[in-house]
Amino acid sequence: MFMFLFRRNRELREQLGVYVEKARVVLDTFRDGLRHYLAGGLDGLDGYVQASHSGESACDGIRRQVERDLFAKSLLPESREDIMALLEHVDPVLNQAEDVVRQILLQRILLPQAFLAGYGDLGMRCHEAGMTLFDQAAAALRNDPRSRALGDAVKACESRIDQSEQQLVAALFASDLPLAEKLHYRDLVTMTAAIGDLAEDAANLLTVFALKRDA
Amino acid sequence: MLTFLAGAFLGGSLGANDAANCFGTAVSSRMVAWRHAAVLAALFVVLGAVTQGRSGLATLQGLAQQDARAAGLTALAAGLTVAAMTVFSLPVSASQAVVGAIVGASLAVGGRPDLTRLGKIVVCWVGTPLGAMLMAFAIYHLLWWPLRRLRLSLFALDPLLRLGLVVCGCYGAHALGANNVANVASFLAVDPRLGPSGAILVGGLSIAVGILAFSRGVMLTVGRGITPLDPFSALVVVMAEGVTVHFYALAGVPVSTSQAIVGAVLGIGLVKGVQILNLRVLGHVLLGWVITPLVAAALGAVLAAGAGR
Repeated sequence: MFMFLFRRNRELREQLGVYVEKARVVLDTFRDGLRHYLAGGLDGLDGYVQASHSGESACDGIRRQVERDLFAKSLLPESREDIMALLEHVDPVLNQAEDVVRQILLQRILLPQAFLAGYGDLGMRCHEAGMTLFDQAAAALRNDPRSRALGDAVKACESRIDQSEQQLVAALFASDLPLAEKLHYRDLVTMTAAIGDLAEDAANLLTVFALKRDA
Repeated sequence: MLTFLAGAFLGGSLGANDAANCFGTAVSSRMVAWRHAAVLAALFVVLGAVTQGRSGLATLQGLAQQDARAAGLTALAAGLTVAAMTVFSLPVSASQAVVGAIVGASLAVGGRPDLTRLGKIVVCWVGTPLGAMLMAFAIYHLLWWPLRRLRLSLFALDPLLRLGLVVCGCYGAHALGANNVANVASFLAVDPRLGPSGAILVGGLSIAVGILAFSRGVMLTVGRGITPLDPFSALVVVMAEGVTVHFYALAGVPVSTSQAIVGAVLGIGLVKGVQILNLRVLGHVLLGWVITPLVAAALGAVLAAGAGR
């Protein structure tokens, strides 16, 4: 008799599930784009930029739809606010990932061979942080107790990202490159590492989200 | 006519003020829309009054002898007291106002209130917040453990909580009608044309009108003013209040739903081990509880003495 109460929320739950899956695709595109860049330079990178942008736009579309639908469903106000906050914190992670690949192409950044491995390592750790974040988001929405452990994993990733960033920046400034190039490459490294920071912010929010439902 | 109007006025004031105790937390935190809450509360108040309101009526009728004129003045005194507190958006006990007015009016004209009955009523007043506190503590633990084990997602839990708030609010309104209609009907019943059944029906309807017409402001204030509650705690508070007030309805003693709510919130505080009450607002509430019977008694005495001359 009361199944209609749950039906109204099922659509919302499915939309959020689709959002998380599309967000994973955006991050995978970021990873593949970086690998392509590290292996072959700028040629062909525009395809990854466009794919990244399309994916991020699709996520934005779902997000706007979810925000519109939130108030038509039977969630409590606090839960609506939590979901809005979740989307607001996850979206910057995708925006940053898209921006990194785009800026590499736009600014025609050609990282010297000596730093490619370190930068590749940084990029893959950022990808890992983002994917763990999306696992945490999916778990939090299911009220899965593993959500908190996944939040800790994101923070651990972010610590490793910080280390990679610092090592890379130190190596850059210890090299013989002209100062202008050092600063240019440093900006790329910082912009990439910011993915980890944004993922950690979102993970902290999701941890609170899970704690509220455990208290 | 005076008795009827004063009784209806009291009923309206009672409804405007006490409906907040059934749906206030849900409405003020936007979990239930005010208009839905008001309609449901009005319906279930009348239902509770008509089905289970007789016991309390017998208790109040036995407190002091009153003719129709005295009953009208007493109802007016109680109604004015409740209305004044409602204007200041403070939860007030209509039961305390009515008992205070009856006792004050009786003493002013040389009458002798039934002290044994009065003592029973006062003991129940003290027991109301304590009982609600213990009930909230017990209900919280009873419900939280299985909910925690089920680990429902918010997509399943939220509709359940919202439904629970509506159901418990309706139950609270039913208990309010069953317990508090005596506060109104005890004055109306002196009219032989109404009798006890008619008095209870008119009393219930006057409370319902008060809910529909004037409860919005108090509903929004009560929920926000005392403490911010999470949805589950809000549900427990309303459930505990409803059970406590219903218990006293069956015992035949009109008690304060406001006191029950505050006691239930204290019970939540016991569970969580934190101070979750807005102490300033709580202070105002407690002041109201002390002032209400005294003011009502004074007003009742003044009106009765003035009419006696």
